[in-house]
Amino acid sequence: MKKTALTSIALALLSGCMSTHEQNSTEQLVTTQQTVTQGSQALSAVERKKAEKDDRGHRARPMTEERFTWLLSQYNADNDKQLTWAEYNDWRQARFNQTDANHNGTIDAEEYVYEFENRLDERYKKGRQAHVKQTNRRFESLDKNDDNVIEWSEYEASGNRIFSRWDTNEDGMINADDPKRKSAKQKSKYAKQKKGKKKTSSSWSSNNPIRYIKMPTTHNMKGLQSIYDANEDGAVSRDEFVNERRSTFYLADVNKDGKLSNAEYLAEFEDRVDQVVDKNRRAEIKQTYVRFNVLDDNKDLKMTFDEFQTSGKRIFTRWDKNKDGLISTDDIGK
Amino acid sequence: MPLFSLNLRPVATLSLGLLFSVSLQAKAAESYQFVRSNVLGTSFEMTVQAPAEQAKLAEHKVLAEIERLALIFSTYDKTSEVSLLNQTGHPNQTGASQDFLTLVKHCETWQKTLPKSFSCRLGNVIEMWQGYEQQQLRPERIKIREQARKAQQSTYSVQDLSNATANSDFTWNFGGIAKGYILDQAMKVAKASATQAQAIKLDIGGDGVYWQSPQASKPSWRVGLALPKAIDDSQAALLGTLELSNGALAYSGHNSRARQIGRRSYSHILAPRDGWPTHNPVTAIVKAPDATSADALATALAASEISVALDWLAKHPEYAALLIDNEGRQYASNNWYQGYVKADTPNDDFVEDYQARISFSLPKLSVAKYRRPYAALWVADQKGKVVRNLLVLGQSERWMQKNRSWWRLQGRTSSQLLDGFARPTRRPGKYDVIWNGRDDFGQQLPVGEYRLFAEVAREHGKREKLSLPFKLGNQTQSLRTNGKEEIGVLAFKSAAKKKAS
Repeated sequence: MKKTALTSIALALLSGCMSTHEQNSTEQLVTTQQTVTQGSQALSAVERKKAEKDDRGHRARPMTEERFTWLLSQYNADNDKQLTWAEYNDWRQARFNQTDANHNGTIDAEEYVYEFENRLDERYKKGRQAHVKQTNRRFESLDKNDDNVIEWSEYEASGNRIFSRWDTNEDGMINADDPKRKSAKQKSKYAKQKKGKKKTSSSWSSNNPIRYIKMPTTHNMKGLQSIYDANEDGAVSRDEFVNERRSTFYLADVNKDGKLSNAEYLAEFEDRVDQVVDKNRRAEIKQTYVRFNVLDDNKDLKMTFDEFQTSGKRIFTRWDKNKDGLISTDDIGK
Repeated sequence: MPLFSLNLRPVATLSLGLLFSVSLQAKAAESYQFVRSNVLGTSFEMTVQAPAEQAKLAEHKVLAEIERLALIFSTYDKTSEVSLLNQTGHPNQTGASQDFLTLVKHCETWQKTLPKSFSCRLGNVIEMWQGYEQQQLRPERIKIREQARKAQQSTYSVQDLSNATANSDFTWNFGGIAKGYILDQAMKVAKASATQAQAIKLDIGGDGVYWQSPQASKPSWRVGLALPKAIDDSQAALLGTLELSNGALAYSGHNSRARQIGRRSYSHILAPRDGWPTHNPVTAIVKAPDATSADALATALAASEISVALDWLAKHPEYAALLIDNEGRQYASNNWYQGYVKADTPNDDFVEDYQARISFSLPKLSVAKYRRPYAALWVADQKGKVVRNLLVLGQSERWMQKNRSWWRLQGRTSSQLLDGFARPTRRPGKYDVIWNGRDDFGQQLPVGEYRLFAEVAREHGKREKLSLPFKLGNQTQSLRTNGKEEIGVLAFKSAAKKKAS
């Protein structure tokens, strides 16, 4: 549990590291939001969305019940329903000392990256396990006749389901002309009954380690295009779609018996997961060095605790929505 | 990295013209070649230009010297000095041998020079990799990194070694440097035994060291450089022929061998900071004054980012190097082509030693939310095909894509350009690039009409693309064009050369 939390903090760090004027920017943000509510009739939906972003173009996220519980579970030492700056500061101090491997009172770039890298790899490891589990499940569901192999007909049928789900106007082309499909929830006759349970499903997705490695998926347009739009024209034709699926099937079928065993199916997916991890990892590590340089305010290649807390303060003020110096139930919903 | 198994074989021959003149001056000067297999587990070749008896004696002594040093440095021999030391962690009663101490000193120097890409302390890490390979287990990155870091941070020094202090932080592996050291030592022995020698060449598994007597007026050696992955010797000269008098050449990093674990293959080139194979390692060919430096530097450059390697080489003109990425692009240090043998007959289609100075400037803009621009500078032929990427500033794919033209032409298909060649973004100012008239793959371009392109895009800003037609040829040209927004000036200058008669 703790490790998951640590990584999320790292992500928070990632998203909020460059600006050093967080106090000002949040004030600006508050004022813009007010103007938004006052003149919201005059603004288009797109303009409203833009105005919600902070000065760095990041979306300001509201404090939720869930996030609050999570923050408490991480930093709250005395188990009351609030998080004080002192508690948070102590936690950060402990983290700082832990990162400072040679105990000289400052963190150098390598120490900083090393600490992050270990958390990152733990995360990828869990994400990978989750993907393997999910892939095995997918195999079972594709294998309709339960003979422990996927024949081309089974694979093709699944492809057809995907294609027709997107090609809503049935012209053999997935593009902007297709009317937006209804989500499964809207379609379901149980939709109304399920409405109350919405929160559980979102907490499933945010806590599931499968989210640690984001693979392109046919569940959204972006993913669909990145897999199947071979000529990059923004549309997926029936030909493109079938060709890609045929070649995936053929390449995954290592022993060329025309069927995919569980091992073959899994291996194909694992290769793709590993590629994504390799790529993301490089970017994350590169960014961690950048983050170190930004936090190292006086550029002496040593990060002091004060410099380290530049980002700590930013994180704290981000969630202290009502600016009372306390993260408490009052901040929820703001 | 193993001490052997290199597929590359530079083919060195004595320069013919010199051979004749020497044989006229000194009657005894004939050249003898010795070829053996299975020396340090690879091939061995020695050429000596000396009286027959001396040449034979020299070969004999050289082989003995190689054998002696292999007994010190080979990690494949379980009774070698390094193996014994690694097993116990404790230098034995007599302390480490003089050769061992000297090589460790070399290691420390190189580790200080290029800490991110060179280390002799990866013994444990390499053992871990061998274990994963044998058992076909998925390598555990965190464990490997822990060991690599312990080794890199260790304060254990050559002083501790000579004081026979125990070492539990790491074990030694000299795979990246020992062959060079052995070559240097063998050359010393060869020179001492063949006192009347005019020229000596030693080659172990493709890495060579070359010597000629100080009286020689012209370079004695011509070395044909093979392309990595070249299938047969007919392709040997594809990279060109180098002229050498004294010095050494070493190769490193070609993908001839990789660890196969499960469905993945892992390169043998490890980054010292985390003990993990470097992403997209390049092949490095290094020319250096001595074989130890050549070997160490080749190892280090193969594990470096291309842009970092080129910047380092620009500051160290005593070394020359050529890097080849896995897409076949060649990146040469500024002095690399200086040693190339010129064509015997002048060819009007090409300009020898072509040089053009290309400069462009990024203007200072006073706008809110200024971010440094992403830039690409390239040369295209008349059809618009990119023939040479000169400069790429900015390493993030997301923002590089804003340079629409360059991205569509190059970036999206060649990940190496952004991963290795691209440099960080820069401040506004004027930047110069010297172009040698070669394309991305090291080939000289024929004279003719070309077009220079600069494309610059900025986050929160605009995109601008400029082009400048020019002639590649032996003529003086000074061209420039001004940008409107993101680019200040784009200029091209070349000077006509006087024909050497």
